[in-house]
Amino acid sequence: MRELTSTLLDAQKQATAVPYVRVEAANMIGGVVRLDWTRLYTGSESDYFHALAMPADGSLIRARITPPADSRKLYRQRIASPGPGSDFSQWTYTGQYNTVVVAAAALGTEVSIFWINTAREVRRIKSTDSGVSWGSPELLDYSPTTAIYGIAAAYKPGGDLALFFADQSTLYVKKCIGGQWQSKVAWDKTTGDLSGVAVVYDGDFALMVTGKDASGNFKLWSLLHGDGAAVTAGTWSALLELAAAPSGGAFEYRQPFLVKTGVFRCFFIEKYTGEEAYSRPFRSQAISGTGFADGLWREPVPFNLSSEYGLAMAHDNDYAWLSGPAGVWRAPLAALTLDLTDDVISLRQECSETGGSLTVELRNDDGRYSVLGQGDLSVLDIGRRIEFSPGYITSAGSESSAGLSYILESFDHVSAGGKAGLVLRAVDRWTALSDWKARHQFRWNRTSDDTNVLGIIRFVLARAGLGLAVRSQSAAMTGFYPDFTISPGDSGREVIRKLLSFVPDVIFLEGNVACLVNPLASDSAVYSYGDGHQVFEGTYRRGAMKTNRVQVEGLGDGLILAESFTWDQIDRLYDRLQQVGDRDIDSVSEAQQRGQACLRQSEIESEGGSILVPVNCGQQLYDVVALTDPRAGLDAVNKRVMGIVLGYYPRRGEYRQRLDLGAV
Amino acid sequence: MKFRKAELKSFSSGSYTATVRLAGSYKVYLEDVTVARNLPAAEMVAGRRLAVLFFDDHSPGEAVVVAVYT
Repeated sequence: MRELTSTLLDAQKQATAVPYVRVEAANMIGGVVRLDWTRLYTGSESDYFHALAMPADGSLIRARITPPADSRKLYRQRIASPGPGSDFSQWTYTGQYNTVVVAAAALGTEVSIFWINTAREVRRIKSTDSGVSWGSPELLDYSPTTAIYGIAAAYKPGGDLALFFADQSTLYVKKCIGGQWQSKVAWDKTTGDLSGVAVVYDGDFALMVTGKDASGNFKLWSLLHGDGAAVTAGTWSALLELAAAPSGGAFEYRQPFLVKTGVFRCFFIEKYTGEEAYSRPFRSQAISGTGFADGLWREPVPFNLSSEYGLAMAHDNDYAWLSGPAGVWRAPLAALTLDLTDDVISLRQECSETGGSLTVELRNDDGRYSVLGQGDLSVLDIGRRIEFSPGYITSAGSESSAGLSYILESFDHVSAGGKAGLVLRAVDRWTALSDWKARHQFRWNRTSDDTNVLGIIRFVLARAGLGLAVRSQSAAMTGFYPDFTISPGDSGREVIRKLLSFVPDVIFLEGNVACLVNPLASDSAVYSYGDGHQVFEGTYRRGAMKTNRVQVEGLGDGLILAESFTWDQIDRLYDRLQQVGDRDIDSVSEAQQRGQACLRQSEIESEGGSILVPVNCGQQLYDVVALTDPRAGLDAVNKRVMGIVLGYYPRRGEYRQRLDLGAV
Repeated sequence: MKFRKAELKSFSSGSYTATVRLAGSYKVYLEDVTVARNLPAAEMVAGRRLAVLFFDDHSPGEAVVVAVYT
C-alpha cells in the first residue's frame, strides 16, 4: 500500500468526506521528459564524421570533416544563441586536412576539439572562451594505425578529461590529469575491429562502443571505464550488449553518440546492406532508476533520417540538441504539466492482474479542450502521460496519493443535449508490454546459467520502457536459470506471463515501474476494512482449488519427478491433477518449487468476492487487508486484493472503490 | 505447441542439430536446435526452408526441426 499521511488516512475513514481527485497531463515517457525533436536546419553538407559540444554559455560548437574527395578538411562552427533563427550553414576552416575522425567536449567555458589525421597524429585545439577563439593545434600522441573509426572525449567536473579512440580492435583511453596528458592505455577486451565510440562522464566514463566481436558478429555495447563510482578507477567493466547482428549477415552498427539528460540516451546507426539498403539512426534510452552498469535500455527505435555517420548529442539546461553535418534538431527539456483537476466531471480507474485503464471525462462547455496537442494543450495529446492521484480534502488541505500514471490512448469529444465534454481513455503500461514485440530472437542460458528468471524479466520490462522494483521475491526467481527464448513477434506481455508461470511471484504495474511481489500465505494485513473504514457491501466466495495435486517432470537427461499436494482439498474432493513438464528443471528441489508455485496460484484463486468501500487512496494490488463484516461472519479475516475499480461520479455523489478479493 | 518457419544457416551431422534463422529474426539466429533423425543429413543444405516445431514456445531445448523443404 502506498504510504499516506495521517490526515489523509483519517479523512478516508470518515463517514462523510470530500473527494479530491487530481488529474494532470505531462510530457513524460519512461519517467523522464519525452524529447519532441524539431529540425532547425537542413543543409547540403556532406554526411561524414562530425562532433558536437555545448559550453556553459549555451553556444553550440559543431565540428565536421569533409569527405576524402575534399581532402578531409576539418571545419568548426560556433552558434552563440542557437535557435530557430540561427544560421547553421557558416563554417570556419581550421586549416587542418587529412583528418580521419573528430570529437568535441566542453566544460564550463573550455571547449576541446580532437582529431586524428592520416599521419596518425592525435591533435587538439582548445578554446577557453566557449569557442569564440581557439588556440593552436596541440600534438597529444600518435595512434598505432590510421584505421580509426571512433573517437570521443569527456571532461570530468574538475577539468580533467579523457579521450577515447578505437584503433582497429583496440579501444585506447588517454587522460589529461591536472593539465598533464598521460600515456594512452589499451582496454582489456578481445574483439574484432571497432567502428565507433561515445562517452559521457557520470562518476565513471560511460561508453557506447560499436564494432565486431571476436567472431565477427556486429555489436553495440555499453561499457564503463572506471573512475571510482560503479567501477574501480582505471579498470574496465564487462561489455554489455545492446544490439547484435550476425557475421555474414546484412546488418551492422556504427557511430554511437551518448548524452545524459535525466537518463542516458543514445543514438547509433543501423546499416542494412541487403536490397532496399538503408543506413539509419536509431535511438534508445536507459531505464529511469537504473544505472549505466545495469545495461537496461528501451528497445531502440528508428529516427526519421538517412545517415551513415549518426547524430551527435549535447544539451544545456533548456534543450537537448542533435547535430549532423547537414542538420540540427532540438527538443525542450522542460517537464510540462497541465492540471485538469478542476474540469473532471467523472473518472473510472480499473486495475487488474493483467491490465489497467483510466477513463476521465472533462467539461468542455466553453470549448477549452476543442483542439488538443497545440499551444497550452500541447501536453494533452495521444501518447502523453495522464497522472491520477486519488485523495480527499483533509484538515491539512487537498491531499492525494501520487504514483498512478497512464498513457493517453484515445479521446472522444462528446456533444449532446447542450453539453460538451472530452473523454480521455488512457491505459497502463501493460499495454506497453503488449505493444513490445520481439523483432528478433533472444535466448538466455543456452550454454551456461548466466541469467535467472528475475534477470530475464528485468530485461523484457526494460525493452518496453519499464523498471522493476522488488518488494519481495521467491527463491526460484533468482535460482532458476531456464534455457529460454523469445521469438520474433512474441509480445512482452506474453513473455512476462510465461516467465511468471515458473515462479510463485506476481507483478503489478504502477507508473513506469513493475513491482515484484512474492505473495505468501503468512503475509500480514497492511490495512483494515470494516473496522474504521466502512464497507458498503461485500460478497465473499470460498471455493475448491482447481488444482490440488501437481506432478512436475523435468524433461532433461534422466527423470526428475516431484509431486506437491494440498491434502485437505484432496481429502474433500479427490485429486485434481495438473502435470507440468519442463526440460529446464534439473533438480528435485526445482521441481518442488514449481509444484508449490502452481498450488499457491490455485489457492489464491480459490477464494473470491469483492467489497465496495469509500476510496482508499493508497490501495495497491496484492495488498493483504483485514476484513471485518459481522453480517458475513468475518472478523479481521485476511484477504488479498486482486483487482481495483475506482469510480468518481460527483453528480451522483459517488467516490467508491470496488476491491476484488482472493485468498492470502 | 507451435510451428515456426525458418531458414537453415548451418547443420551439424555429428550432433544432429542446426542453427536456424526463424522467420522475422533478421539479426539473431537460434543455435543448437535438434533435428529429427528421419531427415537425411544430405538434405540439410544451408539456405533451405525448415519447419520447426516448438513443444513449448519459449523452450528452445524442446524445439525440433521436423521438415526441410525447397
